[in-house]
Amino acid sequence: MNKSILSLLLIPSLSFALQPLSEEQKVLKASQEKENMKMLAEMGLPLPDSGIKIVPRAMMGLPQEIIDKGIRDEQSIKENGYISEDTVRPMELINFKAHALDEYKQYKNNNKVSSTHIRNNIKDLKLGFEFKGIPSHIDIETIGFVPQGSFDEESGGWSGVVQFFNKKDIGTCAYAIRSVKVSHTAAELAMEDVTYDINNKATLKKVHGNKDSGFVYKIEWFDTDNFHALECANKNYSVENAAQVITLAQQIDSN
Amino acid sequence: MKYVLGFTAGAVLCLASASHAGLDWTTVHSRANCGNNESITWWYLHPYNWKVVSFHQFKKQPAHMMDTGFSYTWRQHAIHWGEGVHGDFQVWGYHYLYEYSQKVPFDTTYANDCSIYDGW
Repeated sequence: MNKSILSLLLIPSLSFALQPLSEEQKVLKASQEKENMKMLAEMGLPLPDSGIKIVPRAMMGLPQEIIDKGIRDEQSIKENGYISEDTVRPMELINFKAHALDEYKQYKNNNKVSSTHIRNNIKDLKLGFEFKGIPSHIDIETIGFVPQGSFDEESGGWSGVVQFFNKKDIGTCAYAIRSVKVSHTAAELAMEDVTYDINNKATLKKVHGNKDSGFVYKIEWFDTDNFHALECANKNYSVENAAQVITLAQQIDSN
Repeated sequence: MKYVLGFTAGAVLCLASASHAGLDWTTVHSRANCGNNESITWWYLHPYNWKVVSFHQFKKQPAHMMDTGFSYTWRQHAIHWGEGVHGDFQVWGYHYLYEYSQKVPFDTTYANDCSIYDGW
């Protein structure tokens, strides 16, 4: 029995190489995925690879607690211009450069492609899609790149990536992008909240935080190839800041 | 006793693996035949409304489906503790995000082995 326990406990320390699927396995996998889609549809869930749908919120079947919080947030936006809440996210972003330096030290000997730690250079992050990043004509200080989503060797790497950077007059930002093809993501967006601020693409915007926490300006936009998010943190709230972040998102998307 | 061992190994695997996924943004994964069979969504200390649906297939036949339901959490996990010790499983993970403005199948994952994320 001791051998059994030992062998089980050693599992995490073993190196498991992902074996490529045979043609027969690929056919069987695709067949099971069709069955999975049927079951997800029966559960009323939006299906992977089903595109972008703009629908009335009432048709989205959201859990009641999400609706209740959303209504409270709408009231807060009417009163303040933003969702008033205590959040650590603004200071986390503002201090991200120091955090990144610690993480670089901690993982300096880790060259594993599927590790989730920050990379100094995008070339050190294996992605399953082409990532253009922040256009070179935009004056920024890049802090680093981290993976998001899933790591899939067959697709060539990670399904998403996030670029952290400082931008003068705006603050510390994170630009996240997820490949639709690699992640198989899709979206149902609430018609009531969708704008087309970012180059006529479906866009969601929000600002949250408070005077003590600082603020995060968040913009998400959606196209058939990629889903994007831009978060910028600043200690202050202003309509001008919000407009600057929208302009930045438009510039990034134009790349 | 076999199941106790499987559960223990699964718990150890989980603890061993729990510290390095999704350090600075959300990551998702599935693993099969790895002590546990599991599909997990994770961003350390950053909660969102996540749901994970995980399909497990054994010897090329559907075994069962796990649905976590929605909860506001930074680690949503559909785990069948100890199931993976039997081997020959395949696992599919469907990772869902719900917010007031959007319903998103965030990412999908598949595993037929214990391809542990490096650094876990």
